[in-house]
Amino acid sequence: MRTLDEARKCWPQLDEVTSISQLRKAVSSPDKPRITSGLRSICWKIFLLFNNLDRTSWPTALVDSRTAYDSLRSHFLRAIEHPNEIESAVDPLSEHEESPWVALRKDETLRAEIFQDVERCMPDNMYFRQPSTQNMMLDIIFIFCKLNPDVGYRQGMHEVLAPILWVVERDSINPGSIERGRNTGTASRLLRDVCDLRFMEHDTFTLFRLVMQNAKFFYAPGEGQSGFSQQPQNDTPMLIRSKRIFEEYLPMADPSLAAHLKKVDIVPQIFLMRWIRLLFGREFSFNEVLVMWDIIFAEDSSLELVDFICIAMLLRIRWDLVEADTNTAFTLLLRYPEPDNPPFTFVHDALYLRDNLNPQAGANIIKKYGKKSPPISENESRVTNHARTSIGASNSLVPQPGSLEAILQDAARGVYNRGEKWGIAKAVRDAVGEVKKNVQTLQQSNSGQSTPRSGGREYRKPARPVLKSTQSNSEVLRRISALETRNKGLAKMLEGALSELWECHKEKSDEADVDKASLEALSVAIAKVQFVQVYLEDASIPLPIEEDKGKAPMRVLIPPERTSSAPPTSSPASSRSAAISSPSSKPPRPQRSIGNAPSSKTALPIDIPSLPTTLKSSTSRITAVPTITAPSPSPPSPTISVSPRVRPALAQSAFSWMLGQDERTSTFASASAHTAFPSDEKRRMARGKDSIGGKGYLFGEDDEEGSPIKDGRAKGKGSKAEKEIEEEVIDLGPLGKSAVA
Amino acid sequence: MSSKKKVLLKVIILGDSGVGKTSLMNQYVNKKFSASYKATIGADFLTKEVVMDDDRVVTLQLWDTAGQERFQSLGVAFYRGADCCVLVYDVNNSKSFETLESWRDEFLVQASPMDPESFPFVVIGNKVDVEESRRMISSKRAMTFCQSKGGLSYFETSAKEALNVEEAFSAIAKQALAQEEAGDFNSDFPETIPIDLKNDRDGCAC
Ligand SMILES: Nc1nc2c(ncn2[C@@H]2O[C@H](COP(=O)(O)OP(=O)(O)OP(=O)(O)O)[C@@H](O)[C@H]2O)c(=O)[nH]1
Ligand SMILES: [Mg+2]
Repeated sequence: MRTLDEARKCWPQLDEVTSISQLRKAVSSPDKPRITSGLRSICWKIFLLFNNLDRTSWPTALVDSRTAYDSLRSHFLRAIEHPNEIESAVDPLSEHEESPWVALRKDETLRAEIFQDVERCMPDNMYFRQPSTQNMMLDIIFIFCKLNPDVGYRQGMHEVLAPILWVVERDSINPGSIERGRNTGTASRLLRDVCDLRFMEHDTFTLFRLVMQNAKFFYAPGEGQSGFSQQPQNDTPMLIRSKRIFEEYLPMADPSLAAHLKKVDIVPQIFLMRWIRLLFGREFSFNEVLVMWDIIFAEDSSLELVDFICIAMLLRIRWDLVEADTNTAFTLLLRYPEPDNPPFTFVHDALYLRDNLNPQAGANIIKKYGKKSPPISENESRVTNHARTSIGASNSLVPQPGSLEAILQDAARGVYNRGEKWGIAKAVRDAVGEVKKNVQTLQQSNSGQSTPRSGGREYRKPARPVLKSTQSNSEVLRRISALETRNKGLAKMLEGALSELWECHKEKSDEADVDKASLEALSVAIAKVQFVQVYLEDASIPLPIEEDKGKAPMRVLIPPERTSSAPPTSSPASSRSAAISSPSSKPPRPQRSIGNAPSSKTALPIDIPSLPTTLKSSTSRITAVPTITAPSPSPPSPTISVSPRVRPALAQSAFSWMLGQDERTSTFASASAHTAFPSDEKRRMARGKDSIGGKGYLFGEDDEEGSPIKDGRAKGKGSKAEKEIEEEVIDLGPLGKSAVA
Repeated sequence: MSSKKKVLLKVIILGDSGVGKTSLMNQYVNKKFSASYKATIGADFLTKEVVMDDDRVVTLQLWDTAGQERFQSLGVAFYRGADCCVLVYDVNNSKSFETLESWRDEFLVQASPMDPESFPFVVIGNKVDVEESRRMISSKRAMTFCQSKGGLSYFETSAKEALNVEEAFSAIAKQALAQEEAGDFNSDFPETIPIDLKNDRDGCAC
């Protein structure tokens, strides 16, 4: 609480601001004094509630929200506060469902649950030890729960509420303390109204509700979940988000860090759950957290930014993490080391990463704080050579980028399981780790080829096919299943051979004077064959890139660097160097060789058109380009063949040239990454276990036949593929939008 | 399967919110009790090096969980590979005792150990320092429950007064080590279903 005079001293700062975006800038600025230091609750109200600087509209917004809270309060707290008003005719001991007593007892249980945490909230802050504060928090959370029965009370909500209450309380003005006749100017009246002590609880509730509007998904149960249950259940949105941060975003920003954390079995939700649910409230000191929240609310009240804040936090300690074993890594993540720079810098980094999620940007963030940049391009040749020697024909083993994770997960799990069975887990685990590392670094080095502006970003982007409609689905599904049957047969044949190989490996490894290097080489070689088996077994795993040898290649997605420049006969090396200079001068010629790829056994030819057509009509240079480039040495036809999981992004597709040159490409890629969130979330939830199936294989996640979790997956490939196809249709919206923009 | 390498034992602590899981773990690892632990969000962990009877040093990786969290929110991967599960209840709170069974059952579902029957659980009745008149669950009742579940070990503790905490955790370490050495907890290769598991174990225990 403060006096009107104190509050008035800060007010002029707000007078200088003329637009929301100016205010946003001012709030985000690291310069002191901070505008929020005296106007924090007002800024939060502007960003979350008013959404404008038109002060004449504020009183109405306040009255509305305060009235709303009054009625919610009297509605939900009536029985609690006046139990004797419940009709005396009703037997208090009745267990009948509709009995108001039953409802009352349920409410009391809920309140006890909430109160247990409120009591343990901010233990060192006297304000939160006062019963009046605790009761206010209890009521606010209770009403929120009654309004959101789908989520109810989850631990942690109280720590989202506490800072809000604190901020509102600090700024509130007791109107009773103002002398009559003084400070009656418009500004004073407004200030007094916005910060009216009498409505502290109301305004706290309103801000809490507005924050929780988005934050509640961090707490939500998975679909169809309730309490204890033996049923296999869908992953919670939080699990899905953790996976996304860990398996999609982090590898984009720092592939080798991501690979390392995975290797040491870091289960991301364990630390991300607390980081995100509490909006970093326990990771840094209270006042620092408030500054972080200032910027978060200013920049992105949808809270999607938190994902990138997490990435920024991981990058800040990346050198410690890459050295860490499982225990050390978990300790770093669960007791995040105090940063040298104030924590709001994580939010700044996050804003940058949100628009530039690529290894170069990741390296920039790491360097910014005086740390060595992780190896990206300078190692390119060494890494490539290394990779080549250890994974042999690396050309054909370079997986299609967006699906790297899937391939490695599945293949490695297969290898690992088998290895474990023959008692050679360690060797295989290492070998797989090695393959994985090589592929990752290889990929990293590939990304170095593209210009800094495109930064390799688009190449980690899961490729998305452009489907016309779902008309062809049944035909497509029929083909998939035919091919899958065939592949499974082939896989079986290979499996037999593989087990013999592993036996042989085991014998060798049992020998006393075993040559470790050759043993490892053997492991890797077997692992590679096993990869092939895994590909065959599961047609949904995209195949690696087949280097064009002048013959009809396996028609899989070709990354843009190559499609855009390399002549068909060029060696991989020259195609790589050419890629650096030429994409701007020679846009690829879009060519649809759809449905005529005889060797594309596992790929699925699908027509492309609807999106490009709209683009065509809106962008004049598109029609011009192909004509100009037609005479140039024809590049390998950038064929798009679509297997259910290979989803070429526009940037990677034959139509990438529509996006213009690299700069636009990268904007496109990053823009679509976050504009697609809402639908993303939905889709992921719909996919449920499928999408998370491969996680944590080294940790020992589910893989057994007949496990309850597996059941969902076993429902048949047909329906799975269908789901995937629908997804793509949904995705066209954001894709098209950002491409045109 | 005997190995000279460093042994890491994974222990998961479960039980209703507020029974004192965080307090117990901190009392054991840091030798202190604070009345101001915040509610656990998700999970947290501490490690402790323990010298076993045979002078072997093992690392206990103790996972504290949030009592309100149901299993699906931490994900299956979290539970896999556990060597021992500690079930904590508050002797002054009957509900926290009544839910022990579902904590146990659900753990078995999530962690899916090879041999659920023999998977080591240790039951802890905490807060025995509180005045006797408030006690809801008698030792006898708790022990009957443990018997009915195949003879689970049972300890009564006070995290506040550091009563019996050391004893409980050294039993936990022992059972976790035995479980780890039995090596039958491995869901990584589910195709192998060792029919003669019991014999195997006996054979290994030498
Ligand atoms: N009297 C007494 N109080 C205890 C004891 N152990 C814990 N408490 C108190 O019980 C409350 C809850 O303790 P926590 O350790 O936070 O409980 P928890 O099981 O970790 O709870 P969650 O994190 O919500 O799952 C705190 O107020 C502790 O001070 C004990 O042995 N005796
Ligand atoms: Mg706790």
